[in-house]
Amino acid sequence: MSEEMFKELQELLGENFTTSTAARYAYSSDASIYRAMPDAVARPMNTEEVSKIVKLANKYKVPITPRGAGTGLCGAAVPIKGGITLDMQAMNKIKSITPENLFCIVEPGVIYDHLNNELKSAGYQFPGSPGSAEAANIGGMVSLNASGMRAIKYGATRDYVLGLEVVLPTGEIMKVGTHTLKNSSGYQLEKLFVGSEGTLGIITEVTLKIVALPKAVAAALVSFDKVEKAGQAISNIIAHPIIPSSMEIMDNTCITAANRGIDAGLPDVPAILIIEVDGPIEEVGREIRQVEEVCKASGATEIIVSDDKAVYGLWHEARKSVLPALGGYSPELKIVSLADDMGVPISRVAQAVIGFKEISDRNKVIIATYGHASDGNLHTKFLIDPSKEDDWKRAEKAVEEIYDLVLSLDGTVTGEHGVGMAKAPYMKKERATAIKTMKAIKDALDPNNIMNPGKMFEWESEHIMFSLRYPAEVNFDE
Amino acid sequence: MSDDKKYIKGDKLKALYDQTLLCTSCGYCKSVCPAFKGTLWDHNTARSKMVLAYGLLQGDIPVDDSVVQSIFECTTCGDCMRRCPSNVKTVDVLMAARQELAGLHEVPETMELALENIEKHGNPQGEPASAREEFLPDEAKAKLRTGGDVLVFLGCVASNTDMKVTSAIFKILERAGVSYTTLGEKEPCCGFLNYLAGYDSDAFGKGLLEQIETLNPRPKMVVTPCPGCYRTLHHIYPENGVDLGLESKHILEFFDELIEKGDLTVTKKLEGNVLYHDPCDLGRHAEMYDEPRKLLSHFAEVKEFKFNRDKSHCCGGGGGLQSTNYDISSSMAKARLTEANELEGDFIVSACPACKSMFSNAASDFKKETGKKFKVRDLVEIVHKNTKGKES
Repeated sequence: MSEEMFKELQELLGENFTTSTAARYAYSSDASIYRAMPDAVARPMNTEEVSKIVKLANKYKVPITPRGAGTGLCGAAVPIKGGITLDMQAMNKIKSITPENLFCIVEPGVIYDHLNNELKSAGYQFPGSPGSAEAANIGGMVSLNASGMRAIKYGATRDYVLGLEVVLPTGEIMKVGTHTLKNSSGYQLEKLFVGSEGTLGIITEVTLKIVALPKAVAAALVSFDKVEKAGQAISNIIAHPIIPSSMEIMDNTCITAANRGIDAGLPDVPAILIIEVDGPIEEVGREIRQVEEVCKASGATEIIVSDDKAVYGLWHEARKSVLPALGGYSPELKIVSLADDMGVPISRVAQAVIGFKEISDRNKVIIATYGHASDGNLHTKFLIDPSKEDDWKRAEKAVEEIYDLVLSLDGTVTGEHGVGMAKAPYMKKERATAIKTMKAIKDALDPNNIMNPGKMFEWESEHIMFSLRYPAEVNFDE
Repeated sequence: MSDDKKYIKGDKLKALYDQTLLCTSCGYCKSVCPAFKGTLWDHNTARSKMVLAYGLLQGDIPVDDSVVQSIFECTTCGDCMRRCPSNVKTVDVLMAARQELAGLHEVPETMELALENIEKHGNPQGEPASAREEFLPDEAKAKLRTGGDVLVFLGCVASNTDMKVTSAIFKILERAGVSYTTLGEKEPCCGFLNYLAGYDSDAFGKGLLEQIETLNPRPKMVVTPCPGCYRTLHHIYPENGVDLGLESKHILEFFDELIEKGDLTVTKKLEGNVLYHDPCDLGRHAEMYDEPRKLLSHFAEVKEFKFNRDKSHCCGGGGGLQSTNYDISSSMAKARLTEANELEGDFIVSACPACKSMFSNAASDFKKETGKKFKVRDLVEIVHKNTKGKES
């Protein structure tokens, strides 16, 4: 960054612009495997400041990497080409909640749980439910098209974005979408920015559809002595037909981790399903009984049903804790975020889970599998010694095999976490026929390629183990 | 600070290297970290401190003012450690990082000044040692350094900033007929601030031990109204191999025993909503949750904060943050008062002079802004105002 640009940014942002060692190093990583230092961190307070920052970056051709809470798992917020990290957390106002219009308008730095706490008092919710709900920002969720355990019934963030205010890579402020529930008014550009991972512009305002909170909720904790039986139960429930509000699968590695991490008290079995149904009271009662019957018929060894939030809340807490709690699984091994959120058709969940186990055994890497079974979105977490190059190499081989399996099952490399760098080469494989169009859109909107460069289809290597935030370098030329 | 780049030696942090790798950066700690809530800067979160510790240890980053500031902008309240699903020992890592920085004499200036005051005057406030005796009631003055069953270790905050608490303690002890003594101007600083600053604890407790040896009869027990002193006497000294040769208690435990024995009798109850605030050093760090509630329940029906016990929110006075960044520190106290206001609390009772000080200052601003008046009290004051002795 030139001295001139530095001065202009300092003048514009004052204390909200820093090149300090502590800030640059702290902002060099997110929850992914990567680390790369930005040259500076800028924290805008409003759209006008964002626009001015972007104009300067465009003028001086300096990269900008937008960042929300930094809880992303694929490196989308890691400034791999340096430049400015744009911390959007201070733009955190809930501008309006209008249940009568079925939407709310928020700034991108609003935290998911904070928004839902406010919506709750009006009897409404934004039901994305990401695992990192207590920290994740709405802007980040839009950028990655994040979702969570309730996507089967409620969809992903994409399904709630009615409108956006975006600062384009030229600094121009653009409004896309509407404040109406429907529109057929030209290209649906608001959807284009969903999942764009900061490569097309900066989201500065989000109009989100909201839905009413359910009147009742009930859940079942179901044990299986075989992963295959759990997979069959998932398909049987959907085919019944029952559309639960969530249906989570956890393998034994995850169960053990959650029990150790937060003393979750989950049954020590090969696989469990945590199934939740919501809706009107009578319907919930009927559906949870149906879930019980289907699970029994599918070979469940134990079924615990509860409509007590304290009870099923703990099950959800256990499920949400899996990712970080896996870190305590073994003293020698650490959890690294790899191949973390593949999607497969629902009927192929069991096939995928079994395949992941085979890949784990074949490559001698512990791979924990859990996820949103009801929408086919599976998570794997790898436990490796992050200081050993060989562990990383075996892990990457396993990652490649997992993605090959997923694509062979007609799946996707990412269901809800985005591409960033960790899935870039595999996304290029999955979307081979669309890359040219994606690139054309990117070139049209960002001619100087300042917005989060080097990510997604711009990733240049067939490998993903570069610029790691762990104490190992992985050399693929050996 | 010198212009030359400095790097840590790593001898303190090395043992916790594993912890820095254990952190998945999930961000759960962000939702509870008061320093993050007060600034919204990521480098103030626990997870970023794990990242910085890793960077320091790996030699990725040198020690400079920004690193020092970030490592010290923390109350060490420990809520991150409670929330961490990976059970990362966040506060241990942070303290080891502080020890590394202290080893290079890289400590924030305001904290360094407080430590100089301890060196020169025996307290961080820079008050002359004699000030510790200024506000003692006559009865206590008569028992200075005389020996007795119970040694009252007032601590620097109570001694120099809270004469109500100081005076109340001795009046209660007199009322209950306790054989006690106190050190007055000879009372040394317990060393908790040195510990928080990351300085070596070799000298911890030696000054106090020397003073105890001069007392005749030698006390059987030391009691203190300060959770920081309590933690130091009860946990940190033994961890550093210092044995004072007497039992150590927070004074609230002792007062409860006096009530149970009938040496103190409750005379009246408090009117209004009484909220108990768990001080971090007494709660999360010493796991003393039931005892203060039991004592307070003699005087009132204890109403709870939504976030209480191990989930209690910090008052902002911990970790030395008050001296390194008063703005963040005071914003935490104000946030806690806002929580109390939502619960229609009248009294905010704690068992910590630092908490009381933080809340008292914040309450004054709160009243100006909202008109709401809180009665901020230490448990000691509640016991003093609402008990009598056997013969009174």
